[in-house]
Amino acid sequence: MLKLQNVTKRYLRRTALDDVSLEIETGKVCLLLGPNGSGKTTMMKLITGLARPTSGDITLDGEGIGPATKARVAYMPTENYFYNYMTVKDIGKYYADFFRDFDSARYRRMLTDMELDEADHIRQLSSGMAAKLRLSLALSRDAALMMFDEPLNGVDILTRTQTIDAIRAGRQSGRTMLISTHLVDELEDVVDTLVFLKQGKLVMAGGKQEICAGRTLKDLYLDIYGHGSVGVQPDDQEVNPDA
Amino acid sequence: MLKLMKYEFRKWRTTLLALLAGLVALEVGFIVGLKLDKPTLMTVCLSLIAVLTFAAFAYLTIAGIAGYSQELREKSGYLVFMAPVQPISIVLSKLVFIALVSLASAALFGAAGYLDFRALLGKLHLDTQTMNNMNALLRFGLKTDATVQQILQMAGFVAVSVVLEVLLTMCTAYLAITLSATLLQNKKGFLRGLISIVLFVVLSWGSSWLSQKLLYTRIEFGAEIDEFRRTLGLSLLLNFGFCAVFAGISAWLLDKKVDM
Repeated sequence: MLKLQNVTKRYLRRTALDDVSLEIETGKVCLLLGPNGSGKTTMMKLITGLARPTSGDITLDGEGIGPATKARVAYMPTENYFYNYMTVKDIGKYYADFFRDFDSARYRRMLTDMELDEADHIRQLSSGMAAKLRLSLALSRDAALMMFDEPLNGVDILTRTQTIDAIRAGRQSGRTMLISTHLVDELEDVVDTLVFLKQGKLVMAGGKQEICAGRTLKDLYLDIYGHGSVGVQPDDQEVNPDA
Repeated sequence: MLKLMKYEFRKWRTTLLALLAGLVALEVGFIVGLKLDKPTLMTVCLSLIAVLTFAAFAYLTIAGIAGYSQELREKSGYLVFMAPVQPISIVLSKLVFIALVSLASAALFGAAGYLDFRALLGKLHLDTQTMNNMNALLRFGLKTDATVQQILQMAGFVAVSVVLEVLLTMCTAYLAITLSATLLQNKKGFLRGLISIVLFVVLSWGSSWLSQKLLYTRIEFGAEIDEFRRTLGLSLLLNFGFCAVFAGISAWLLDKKVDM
């Protein structure tokens, strides 16, 4: 179980996350929603260990964020994070060297499916190809927690379908997934739980059926961030789809 | 840590190959001059090798420090900091790798230069005379009854001292960079670099001041070699201690405070 307790992240001039408490049960697919700047990426970076909370605790199955949890978390960021000297093959080797759950054979298959050449240098890749590479790397890991930051952005329809299929397969295998996206329509039928952030605060969190209550996810999103007037929920909001 | 060092090597592979290619080119020029009896060509190549000895060392050390700073600022740092490794392994892998390659390059260029120098002296029939003059200068300069063995031991100490000085400079720079990344968080640009430099100067001055306070001994010409060696030995231990402390603090800050 992923647990955030009173997590706040402040930078010099702004608060990216403000006293967020959240629990995501093992084996659930959770959609992290909110407009740009709401704190979604910050939350993922805190969980990955790329950033440190100003206050509060984050635990994965009771363990604080550190090398042990990094081995069990797969994170797909929105940005390119590869060294320019690397080829697509080099990055696969790097992942195989450091992550025991990385499946090199699956990686090669995904590269073929995504029409990526192992010999290509990172600097030669277009933004779409780089996005496909990031997806291939994340999906080639059998991590306990998989986090995707905008996985459907910048990729073609075929790749989007492949990604959604992979998320569906991951859900069936009992993996915990945290996905941030603006394309709510495409992922609506694969998610179990929803978390809404607004200006760093937790607005709402819970099981999809319970929260949507007959509305589409898009309508709910518009209610909260558009013409809606839904306020901030109290602390210790537990995400429990069975409630 | 060894895996991280492997990827450091791959990152620096092109630069190291370029330096090696430069050395090979100059050596080829020197050998061509030697065979064709062209002392001017030999002297030019030897002079460039001497310059490259220091330039390669300085470039690799400075670029290694700048590379660490860059990794904390750019997204490529995600690759290292997402890996399930201890922060101290990240710091040490970079420090040790750059210290090793910069010293190895200086040693390689220096050795090539020394051999070429001997060859040039031989070509000009000056080698025996020149070495005798150098030995006499050495004895005159030290004004002591020290034996050759003691002089060589001291040279060994000095060599280790140089290595530790290089490491200490790098550890100090790494700590300065990590501290500025901690203080300025996600700020980039000129200010972060300026703060790093200021912190580097303060930390360097502080460690030097502390060394002076703890180890102050007057060393005069003609002083016993043993006393000089004892003081130098203590200085080496102190420098090693500073390296360990600075590297440890950098690792702790990376673990607890620094955001990518």
